Amino acid sequence: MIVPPLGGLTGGLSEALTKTAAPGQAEGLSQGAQANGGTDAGAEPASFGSALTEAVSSLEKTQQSSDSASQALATGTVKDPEAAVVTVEDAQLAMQLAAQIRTKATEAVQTIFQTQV
Amino acid sequence: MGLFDAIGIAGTGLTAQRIRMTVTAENLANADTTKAANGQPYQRQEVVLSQIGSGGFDGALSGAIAQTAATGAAGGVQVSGIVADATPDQQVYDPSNPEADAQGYVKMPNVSTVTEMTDLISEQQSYQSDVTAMETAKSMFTSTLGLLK
Repeated sequence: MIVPPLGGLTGGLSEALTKTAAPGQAEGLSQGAQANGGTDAGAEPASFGSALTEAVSSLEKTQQSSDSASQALATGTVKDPEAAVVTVEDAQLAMQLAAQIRTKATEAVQTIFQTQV
Repeated sequence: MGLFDAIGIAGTGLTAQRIRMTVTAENLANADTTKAANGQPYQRQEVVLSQIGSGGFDGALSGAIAQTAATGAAGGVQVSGIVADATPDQQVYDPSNPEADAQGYVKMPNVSTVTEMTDLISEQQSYQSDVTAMETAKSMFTSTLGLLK
């Protein structure tokens, strides 16, 4: 009884992680959950999947601005080197935070998978 | 207050101190310039710094409404203007100088090299403190992340 919602959760996770481009595609978790006939978490507007997708897309935005800042630094067109450095630092710290959160979530899923039935 | 505000604020401090450093370099380079762009002796430039986000009536009102004066004030520093020092030019007696007037006096810029050098020290120290603040904020955040491991 536990397995179908879990499949929905992990399927939604990977789907949300791959569909990070547009906020309109924020239904990764709900689609996965509904396809497996699982939980109704996707029906709520502020679901875990949409929150995750939002976080990942804002992380991607940070990475993109970091990319353009490092490119401006490398090509010498940068007007404010300190601001560029701050942007790159922000992106690095945000990425570290996201990686830690991801590790925690994976650990949680692994723990549930190891449940004796 | 966001997660990385301290780093951003220290970054604005770095930018402001760099601009101060640029202006000091300009002053030192033109310490003997008798003809600036307007044909007059060079006038010493000074940087005016102001706090971001708290200036004016808007900031005071929104801070009072939200009753969070501290968060309303957090934004860093910015260069609000570069103004000319109004100190009179130095009159130096040097009849051999082509710029000398009928009495043999030359108008030299109002730049004091000693003042500029002490400004330079102050700018360096401020820049260093901003870098230290940024490093500390970063290491604090990194050690917080370490709790998740």
